Amino acid sequence: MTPMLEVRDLVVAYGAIEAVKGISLQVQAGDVVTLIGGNGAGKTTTLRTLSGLLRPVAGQVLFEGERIDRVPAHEIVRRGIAHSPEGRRIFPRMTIEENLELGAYSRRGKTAEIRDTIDRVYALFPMLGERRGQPAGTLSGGEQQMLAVGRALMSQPRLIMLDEPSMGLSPIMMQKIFSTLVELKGQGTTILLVEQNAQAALSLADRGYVIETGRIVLEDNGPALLGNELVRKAYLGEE
Amino acid sequence: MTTPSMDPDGSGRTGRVAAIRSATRARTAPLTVPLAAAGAALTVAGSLTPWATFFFGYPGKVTLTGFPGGARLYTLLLAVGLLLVVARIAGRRRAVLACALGIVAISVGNLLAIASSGGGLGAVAYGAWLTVAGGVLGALAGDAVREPADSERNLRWGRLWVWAPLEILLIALVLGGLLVAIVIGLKINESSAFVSYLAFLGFAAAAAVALGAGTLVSYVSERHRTVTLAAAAITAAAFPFTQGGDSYWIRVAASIGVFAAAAIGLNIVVGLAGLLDLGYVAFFGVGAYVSALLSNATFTTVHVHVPFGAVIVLGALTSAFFGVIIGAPTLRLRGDYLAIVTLGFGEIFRIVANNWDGLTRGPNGISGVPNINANGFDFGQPHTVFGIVLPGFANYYFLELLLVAGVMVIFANLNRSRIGRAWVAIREDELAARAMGINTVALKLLAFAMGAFLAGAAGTVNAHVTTQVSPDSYTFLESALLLSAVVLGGMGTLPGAVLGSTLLFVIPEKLRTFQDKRLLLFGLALILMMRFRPEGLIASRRRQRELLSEESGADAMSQPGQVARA
Repeated sequence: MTPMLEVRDLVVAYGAIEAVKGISLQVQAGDVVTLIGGNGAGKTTTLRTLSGLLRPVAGQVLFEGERIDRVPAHEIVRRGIAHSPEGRRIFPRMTIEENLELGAYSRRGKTAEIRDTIDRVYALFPMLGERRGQPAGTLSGGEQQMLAVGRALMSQPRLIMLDEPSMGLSPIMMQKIFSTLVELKGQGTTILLVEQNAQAALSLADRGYVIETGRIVLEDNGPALLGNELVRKAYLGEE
Repeated sequence: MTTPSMDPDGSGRTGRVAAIRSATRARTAPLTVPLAAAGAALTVAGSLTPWATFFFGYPGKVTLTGFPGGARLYTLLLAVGLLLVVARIAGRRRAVLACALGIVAISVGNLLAIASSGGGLGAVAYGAWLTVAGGVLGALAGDAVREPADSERNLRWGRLWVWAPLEILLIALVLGGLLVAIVIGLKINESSAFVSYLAFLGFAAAAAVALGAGTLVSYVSERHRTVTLAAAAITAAAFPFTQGGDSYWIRVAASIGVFAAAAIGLNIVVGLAGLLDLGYVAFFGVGAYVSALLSNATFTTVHVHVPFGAVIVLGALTSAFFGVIIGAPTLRLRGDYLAIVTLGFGEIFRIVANNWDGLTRGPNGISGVPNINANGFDFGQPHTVFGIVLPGFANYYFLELLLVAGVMVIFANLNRSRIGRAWVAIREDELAARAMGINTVALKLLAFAMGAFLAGAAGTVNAHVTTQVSPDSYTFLESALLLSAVVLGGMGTLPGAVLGSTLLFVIPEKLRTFQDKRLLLFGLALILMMRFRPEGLIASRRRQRELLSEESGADAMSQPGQVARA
């Protein structure tokens, strides 16, 4: 079976400095795949390249069998990949609802259907619906993360890429976000999850990749990686 | 949209108003009312007694007793405002302070002016000193008033008016009052008298806004949008009829119209898309040159005469074309870098115009641009309407009104559209906007082209109004002034751009004596604006929210009216 997303020997550089040094990975439709690794390992760079925000130096990205590594970002969204960027990056001065409407920017003219999706997001995160008229900047970190996930869902993606959704959140909020991801997974959404919180990410993932200084050093299914000694030492803080 | 946070305690209006009352009553110093009364009494006494000891031509008959002429009328009127201190309404603290500071500003200003033109403090009579003292007492009284957060007053006005005819009457009164205030102001000839008048209007308006008048007017005008727009158009169209056939101010008004149309265009680029363009006047210049070249001016280099209807489109399109040419390579830059590059392109335009003798006649420019002649209707000829003679410039003024109205329609539609939303998203967070599927390059280019298009259209009319175009009309200073008009009036709002342009044009015309210090005064005004009202004179809701959120976080944003709409 062709994977939904396939990355082959991807190299991404900022000027002369290579941040991603030839990584390959695959995401099967319906799976949750996680990319774990420390600060500066190249996780965010990889996601940004996949969504077209950065251009690779070498390598290929295939989405549903088609090359997308030279396709502009706005076109990639249209093809069905949503990217919830690192640090949430919601539009703080717009209302919650305006943020969601912008998430559906690529679906022009489908007002009624967009309305339906907004209602679905409100069903997923009732808090957002209650405060729909409130500026997004007034939300707490966890609530903003919910908005960021909701906003990414607005384009009705076939693949949703989340960059560190647990960053800076309280344990309770984190739990809430991850339980939402379980719910999304249950609905059959394909998720590519970038995380520093290896425990939470791996227990959710069908497949995991460990990335270190721009290279994939380990790959396996989620439970196997959770049990892997190197992962336990390096990312789960066990001796 | 809903505003769940509007009524947090659910106690309703009556309970809350009672709570405000008891709070204000309890926390006001006991001497406040006598202090304010004394201030008002002193001010009235000072306003009815002489401000100058002898007559030397100072305006307002300031040597007369019992006659409140000139600036003394304004202090007298503001004295009434001091008595607001006894009224138990929210916002009175600021209102009383505004009136008191107005009295101080006007009396001190006139006192100094009398002293300097009358040859020393000996020229100042006791009335002026009394007034200053009255104002100071009033300010002390205002300062002693304590009241809770001013969010309450928005609540009050937002729900107060419900009877439509009364609301429409209010709109008519406000606009009519504005027209009368402008006409009166334009008739004042002496600089000092005009400054006093302006100060009076400013402080009186500040007092009214403190009491919630601004909120009331914006609520009411929003409820009756069509009526408000029609009334505004009628008021604007009525202006030439108030000038008794005199063309001077109509000519200034026509220039304001050109400037305002360009300012609205700049507002798209800066206010909506957030791209700082410091060379914007170049697009205005492109339109003006196209217009001058194609209208068979006396000193044209291209001997063709294209009808004006086609010229305005051609000028706008040429300008938009240059907008794309300049925008395409530069729009990958952000913030300061983009500003520097646009600054450079503005200069390139001016220098090219200055040196391309074969086309632009270099520094001489193209003069003798004829009046617009549309189907035999000569814009230079005066007309008599309803028995009132309208000078030739009135034709241009009306054309400008149409242009500004058209530009406003374009702006308002863009602002509400998907494109407008995308621009705001780019301004707030470009990376996130790209991740949402917004084609940021195309949209930034569109903003640039749109702004250039509108500036070009305004430029084509301007060539006819000023009858000549030359490179020195398109300096960086002009770009800076346009930008200032936008910032002063309020970024992202239509009335703001018009108000900003009006102030920038009328005040220098009125303050001929300060001509050389005009920019100095203006810079000072902008600094004060940035400190005290950074959102501009007329703030857009969204912009206000942005600035409020930076200052005080969540609390300030639960104010009704700011939460509800975007």
